[in-house]
Amino acid sequence: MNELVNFVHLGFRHITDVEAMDHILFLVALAAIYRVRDWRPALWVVSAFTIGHSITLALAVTGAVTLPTRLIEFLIPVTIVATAIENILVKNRSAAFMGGNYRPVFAGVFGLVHGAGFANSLKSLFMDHVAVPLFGFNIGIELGQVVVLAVAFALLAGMDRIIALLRLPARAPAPLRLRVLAVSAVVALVATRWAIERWPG
Amino acid sequence: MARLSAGRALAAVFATFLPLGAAAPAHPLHNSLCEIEYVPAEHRTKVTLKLFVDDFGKAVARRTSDKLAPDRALADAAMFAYIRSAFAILGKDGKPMSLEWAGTRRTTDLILVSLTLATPNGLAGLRVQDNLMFDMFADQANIVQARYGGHTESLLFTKGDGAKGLP
Repeated sequence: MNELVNFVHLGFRHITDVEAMDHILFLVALAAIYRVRDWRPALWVVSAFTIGHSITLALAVTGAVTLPTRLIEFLIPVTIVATAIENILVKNRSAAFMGGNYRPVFAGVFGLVHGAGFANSLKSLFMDHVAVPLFGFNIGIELGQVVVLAVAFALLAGMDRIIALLRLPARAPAPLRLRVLAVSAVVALVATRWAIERWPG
Repeated sequence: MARLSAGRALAAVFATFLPLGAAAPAHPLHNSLCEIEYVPAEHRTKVTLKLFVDDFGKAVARRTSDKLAPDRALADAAMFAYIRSAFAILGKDGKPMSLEWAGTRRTTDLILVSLTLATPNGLAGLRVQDNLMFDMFADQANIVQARYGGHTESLLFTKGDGAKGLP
């Protein structure tokens, strides 16, 4: 049991560490379009991300697939940029493709990439007995994600309060749209820089 | 409360968050694994340290000589000296027990360091200290798995941890 707890601890540290900013920014980009009262669709999206990264984490750590580290490290910021751009481009989600309900699908697909990133080091160390480390690490990642999202929602709510104080021009976007644009633009810029620096060529 | 101009507010948001992009961390796991196995027939214990060769190379190089390149073949003596400075199995009297060098093996990205020590009374009651690479990475975490007496004891070491007991 103490072995499982130790790996839960490792997974939690891995996702909440400041050096996990790429995974954290991806969660922020996913959460950026939601208000607290939209927790249900947000939960669907994050659950799909979880399913995606759990699949590749398991496949990679068990050796079922071998993933090129440098390509994965490059693709992680690309998923962040793509999510932020989608936030910016889609103004009216109910009028978008599939009524805007495609988000869990791309969160799941992008989760595959992030899971491969989680796996790269874990598999080397624990190849001999992988079940407990894999299971515990994944639980820790999930718990960490909950904490990251809770903090993100609190910060986004704070941002909404600040936007409410702004002298906005009459034709300015709605406050929620303004928040989505601001957060997504910053996230996209930061992640673009990471993607350039991690170019595998 | 005074109302802010939209431009200033946006500039403040960008100024606050853009420094996040100053570093482009690939976010590796800074972990190591230590497997400890008591061999009753020999009254000895085998220790295998599984360390990422890049991380370990840098740690040893920094301790040995600033000019030593991380990928340079590391002398056994330098590695052993670094390990003894950060890893120990403590006897019931609290003093470090004598570790003996038993060689290394390499995999693609790991170096496996083998050590042995005499443990005539088994592992129960001894303490382990694993501070390897804490001098290199703030997020370093080391897992110790000790197999003895028919069970496995797992210990997690993070920065600031002291020695931990084997029950």
